Order: sequence, then structure tokens, then C-alpha cells
Amino acid sequence: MAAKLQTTPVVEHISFPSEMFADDRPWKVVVWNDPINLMTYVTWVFQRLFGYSLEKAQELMMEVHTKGKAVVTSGEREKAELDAYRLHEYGLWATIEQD
Amino acid sequence: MASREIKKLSEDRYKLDLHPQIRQLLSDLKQTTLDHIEEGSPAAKRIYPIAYSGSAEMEMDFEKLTRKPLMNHHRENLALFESSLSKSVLTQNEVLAWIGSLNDMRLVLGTALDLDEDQPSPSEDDPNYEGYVIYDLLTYLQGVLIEEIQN
Repeated sequence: MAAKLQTTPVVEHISFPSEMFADDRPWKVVVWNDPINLMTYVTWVFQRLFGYSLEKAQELMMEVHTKGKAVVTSGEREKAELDAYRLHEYGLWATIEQD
Repeated sequence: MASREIKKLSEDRYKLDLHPQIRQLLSDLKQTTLDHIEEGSPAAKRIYPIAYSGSAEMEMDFEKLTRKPLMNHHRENLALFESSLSKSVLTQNEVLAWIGSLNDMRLVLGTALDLDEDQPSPSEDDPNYEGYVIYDLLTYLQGVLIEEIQN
């Protein structure tokens, strides 16, 4: 006897490891603390490049200063690379990582 | 209070009042900084930061794409900085080039001096004392420019 065809799509019940969707995870741009860049300069760069308010720019700068790093932007990889490059133009130490 | 070396007069005019010796020093520093940037010397490592610390392959691709434009960006900034060194009034674009150039000089000199955030003030006997004094001058000038451009 032929086996009865399974009509329910079983794929719904399979859970894929998150690594399979690696490209969908956002990319973060992280700015690291360094002993050279002035606090006022870092704040000014955040405002100038990303249009952040003085309050937000200062908050991020303080996070960099006190915690050693801060995520300043995130999004698709292409955008993250452009943001990191612009930060490099200003001499800030920016890296790119995925969530 | 003595008048500042750099003062914003309007959105596109900044008064520049620097001693000729300081202008000459800045010109010399500009050339030294440019040499380090073009050679990619160890002192210029902060000019070309690593973007992908977790992947050598991604870092190689990123560097291939950005190294030359980044060098050109710094070259252009330093060129505009030098061309405006003898002026008494700077435009907004020139001030932006000054801020970037002073930062490049500080990054290169600070790296060469191996500066640390918690470093005590150096004594006059320190062989690098002159370097620290110049670094402090660059820090002062950059601080004034940032303050003025935000006014």
C-alpha cells in the first residue's frame, strides 16, 4: 500500500539556526575610546556626521569615554561601512560588527 | 582677557591672529604629518584604523576600497590648511580643514609620543618635552576652533 501523502507543510516546524540569516542582522558602527581625540571634538563630529542633537552627541561621547566604546549607528552593511569610513575621515577609531 | 588667536566674525569669516613663528611651526608639522600619512608609517596607524577586527578578509576588502580615498581626504585637508596658513581671515571651509589637519597632526604626534590618557605632565628633562609642548599647542588651537565654529 502506498503511503498517504503528507499534505501539511512540515517546514513550518523547522527552526533554522540564526547563523543562516546572518546577512539580515544589522551591522553596528562602534566608536572606541582613545587618548588623543578631544571630547568636544568627538561630540562635534557626532553632530556633524549624523545630525544628532547636542544632548545625544554628548551622551554617546560620554559612553565612549567612560565605557570605552559606544554604538553610534547601525543598519545595513553598506551604510555601516560608509559611516565607519566617514568617522575614519575625522580620525575617530570606528569598527564595524554584526549584532 | 587677551583676544583669542581665532575668533568667529560671521558664518564664513574667522579672524586668525597667530605669531609668524607659530605659523611656520604649523607649516613644518603639516609636512611631517603628510609624510607619515603618505608613507603609512607606524605613527600614522590612527589615520588608518582597522574597521573589521573580527575578519581579516572583510578588513582587507574594506581597506582596499577606502585606503586611497582616505589618504586623499587627508592630503586635501592638509593642502587647504597650508594654503590658508598665512591668511588673517579664514572661510568656514578653511576652518574645517584646520580642524581636520590639527587633528591629524595630534593623531600622528600623539601616537609617536605614545600618549596615554592618565599620563602625568612630562618634566622639562624628558627627551620628548618639546613634542609634548607642541602637542599641547595643537590641542589648544583645535579646542578654540571647535568652540568658535559652534558659536
